[in-house]
Amino acid sequence: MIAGRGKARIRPPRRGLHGDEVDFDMTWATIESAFREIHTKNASKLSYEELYRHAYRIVLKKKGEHLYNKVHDFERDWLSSEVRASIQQLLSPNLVVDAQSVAGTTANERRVAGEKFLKGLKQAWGDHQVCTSMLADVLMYMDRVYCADQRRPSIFNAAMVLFRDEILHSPVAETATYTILGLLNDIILDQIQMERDGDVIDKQLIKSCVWMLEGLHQDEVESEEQRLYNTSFEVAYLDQSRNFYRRESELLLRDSHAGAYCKHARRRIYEEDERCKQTLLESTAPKIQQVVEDEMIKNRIHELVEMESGVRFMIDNHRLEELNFVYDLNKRVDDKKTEITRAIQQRIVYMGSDINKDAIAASQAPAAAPAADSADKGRGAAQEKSLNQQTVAAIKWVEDVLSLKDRFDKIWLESFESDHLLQQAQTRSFTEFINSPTFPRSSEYISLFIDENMKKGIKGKTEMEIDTVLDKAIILLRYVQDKDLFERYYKKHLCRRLLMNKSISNEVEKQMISKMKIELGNNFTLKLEAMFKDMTISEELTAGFKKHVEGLGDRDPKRIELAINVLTSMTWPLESMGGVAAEEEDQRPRCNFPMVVDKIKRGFEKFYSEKHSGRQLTWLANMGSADIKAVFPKVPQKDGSFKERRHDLNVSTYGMVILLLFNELPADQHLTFEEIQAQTNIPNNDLIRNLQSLAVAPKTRILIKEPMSKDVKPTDRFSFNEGFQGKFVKIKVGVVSGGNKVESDRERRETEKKNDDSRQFCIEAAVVRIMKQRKELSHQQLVSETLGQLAGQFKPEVNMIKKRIESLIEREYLERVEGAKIDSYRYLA
Amino acid sequence: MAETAREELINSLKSLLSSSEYSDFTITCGADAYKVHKAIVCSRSGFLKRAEKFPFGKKSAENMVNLPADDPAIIKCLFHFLYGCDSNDAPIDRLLHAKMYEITDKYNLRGLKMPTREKFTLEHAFMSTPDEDQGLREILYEIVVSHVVLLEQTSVEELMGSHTGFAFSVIKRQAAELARLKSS
Repeated sequence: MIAGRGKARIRPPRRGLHGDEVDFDMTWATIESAFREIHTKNASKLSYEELYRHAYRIVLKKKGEHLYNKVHDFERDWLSSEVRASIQQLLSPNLVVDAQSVAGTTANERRVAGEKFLKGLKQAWGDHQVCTSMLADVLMYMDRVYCADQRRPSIFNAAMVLFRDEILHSPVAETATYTILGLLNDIILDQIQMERDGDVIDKQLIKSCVWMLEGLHQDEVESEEQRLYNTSFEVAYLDQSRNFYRRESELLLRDSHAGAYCKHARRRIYEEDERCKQTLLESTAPKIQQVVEDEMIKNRIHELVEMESGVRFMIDNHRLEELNFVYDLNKRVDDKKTEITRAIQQRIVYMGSDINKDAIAASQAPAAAPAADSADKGRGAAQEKSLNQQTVAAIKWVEDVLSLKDRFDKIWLESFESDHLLQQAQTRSFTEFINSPTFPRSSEYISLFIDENMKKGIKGKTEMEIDTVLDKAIILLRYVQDKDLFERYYKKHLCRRLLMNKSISNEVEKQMISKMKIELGNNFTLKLEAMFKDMTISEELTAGFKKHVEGLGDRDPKRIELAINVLTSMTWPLESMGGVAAEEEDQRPRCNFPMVVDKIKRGFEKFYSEKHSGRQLTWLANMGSADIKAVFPKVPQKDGSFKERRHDLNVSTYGMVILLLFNELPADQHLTFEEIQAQTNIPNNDLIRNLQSLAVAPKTRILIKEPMSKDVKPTDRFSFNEGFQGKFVKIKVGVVSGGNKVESDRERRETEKKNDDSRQFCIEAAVVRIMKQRKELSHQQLVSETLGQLAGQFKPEVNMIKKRIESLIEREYLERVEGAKIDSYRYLA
Repeated sequence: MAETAREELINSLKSLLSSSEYSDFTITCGADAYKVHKAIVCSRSGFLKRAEKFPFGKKSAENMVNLPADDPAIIKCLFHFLYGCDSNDAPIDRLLHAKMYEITDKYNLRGLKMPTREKFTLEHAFMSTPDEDQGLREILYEIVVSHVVLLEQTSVEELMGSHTGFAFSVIKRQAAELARLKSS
């Protein structure tokens, strides 16, 4: 490989390995002149190898430090004289003044002057970097050996620091304290402000200067936060921005509407983000975001939400997109979205309360003026009309609430991005107004809504539509706190529907029950299911009895056909049937049935007792109906012929009893009220109402009343109306208060009282259950556990619980624990 | 397998140098001209790397670097080693070896495949005939004294440790150097 001249003598070098007297000054002169050429971009004749060698030899001769200092001084001088002079030339007289105060020249002039400065500075910086890089290349050996060894900054880094000190920190004028760096910052800030105002600026140019600031540090610490960019520029930028956005947000709120504000804020946020990417540094992004969010959102969100065009307006005018903007802004500064949640809740409760108020107002409004011939209508009819009006108000309430829910569900889905917290808040608000103490009718109204649908509403609807309707009821039911009250109403209404055969479909009834089972539990639906069972059994009994009778012997053409409903006594809410007044509650309706009816009655009783010995049947004459075939004597027709008229009359049981009295009576004779009363034993009120329906109601005057008037006096006389004319063969004689209606205030109070009574039992049962298990509990714990156990049924008042506890103590179920620090109780076995 | 691959690589490097194929860089030293490859030499030498990118000068435009102040024999050695050659199959020139140390330092060369018998070279150099040694020894002293970096090499360290005479001489020269510096 290497042809060895192995044996040749090696002479010791005469002048050392590299020439003994490395003359420093001469060498340095060469190097310095080369550096000058480099700086003046005149380096074409230079040889890298030669320069490198010069520096190498100097360091080898242990003169590294000397060289380093010389280079350092050279650079410093170059910067402070040549470079600084060129920078000074960029400063127009106005530039300095304008940068510090905005007034004076036009925006365009300022922009142009600023750009000139930035360009010049960028150029100087660029040149400096290139030159320094070349110097460092040439001095590589010194860097490696001397600097590393002596722990001095590399010549490149030292030169960077020199640029900072000699250029950036130099004053703009001899006596000024304002520095080039300060000017640079102000110019950039000014340009950015112009961009915010809509002008186009040279982003790339600014970015170049930003890079310069990024590469330099405030002092020796070389951390990110100590970069000149951060300590000098960024601080000023954030301050200026803060002031700007504070002012802008104030003006915007004053001058434009909420939706526009939101859009603007979003735009600014986006702009700032882009600015950090394109013009500044990305590390500023989170900090400026914070500034914008603080000034435009956090400090203003309350005003924004509350302003005239704010959330309330948006809700009322279906501005879903704007609501989404507000939500989005709120979310940025607050995880809980407190402001918008509050506004939504307020609105829901307000609108809900309005719905409540409307319902109450509608139900208390004076009855619509009756028709002209009011004398013909019974007083009951007018009352009926007003009650119908109330029922209508109830239905409307349900539909309004559901409609409100739909509206806010839509907002929740589209504007609030199905936000979990907002869903909870909305639920709370709905619960609030539905269970408001000023509106105690929710349970009743919901039950009426279902009632109306079961009787009429679902007619003609598809399975899916029906399901939707039922689900609506369930949705509302979920909000109701007094579920026991609802149960009470539902039973009452269901009872009437079943017994008067008003339901369109038994299937749908059962469907509703099973939905309620899921929602409210088994206990609730047990009694309801029992009612259905009774109806089924009653059908079987009716069929069975009919067969039984047929089997007995010849068919009597005049035999009465019986359709029977046997009701298990505790299952059905019978006290609410037939308008029996509270005072007469204890009295079962009594009635003297005509013989034919009595016969069939006894026949059935016998039949039933053979099936179920030991059970007692009580007949409810105030309920039920009868179909009577009535024959009216011939009357002359228009065309001269005579025709006997037959009608099928459908009347109440009492009505039947009354009419049959007239069968034995000659046509020209009459019965007085008192006589009828004595013979039938029908309670007064019922008798009056039934006589009104048979003799006063215009289309169903089967009887003639003397004297003719709306009200019925004991001395009034009644006779069979031979001349009765009815349009149709089948005539139904309706009695006032047939259907389910909204309760009068009196009735409502009664219902509530009954409900409270049964609640007391429930509370006591719960307390005993709890104490039996826990043996000893503090008062607070007992109350809260009781509340918890009963939550599914109703919300007991704390006072009621207290009273029940005291009652239980009196009755020695519990005792107070003596000497305990806090009120406590003990279970007494 | 790996061995074969490595051998292949070294063989191809060697042939690149001898054939001058794909050469994009020329280094001249004395009468010699080496057609080398930037990818290979500039990645191994800080000096060559910077020389290559130095933006001014006629030479750089022509992708040429001249080394007027270096010993052509050393340079030859340098490139041979850079291109994977081994000196095992040729007699070792001790002086050359010493100078190789020097050039490694001067031109910031990395991972030069020096002959494995470094230690031998230095010891050998040290223990040979006085006449020869004087010359060689002087050179060694100069090198070690100037190139402080070399002190870190284990071979030098060991030599200093096992041959106190050598160490003493080095120290003497260091002292003289310091004195000279102080006075100038």
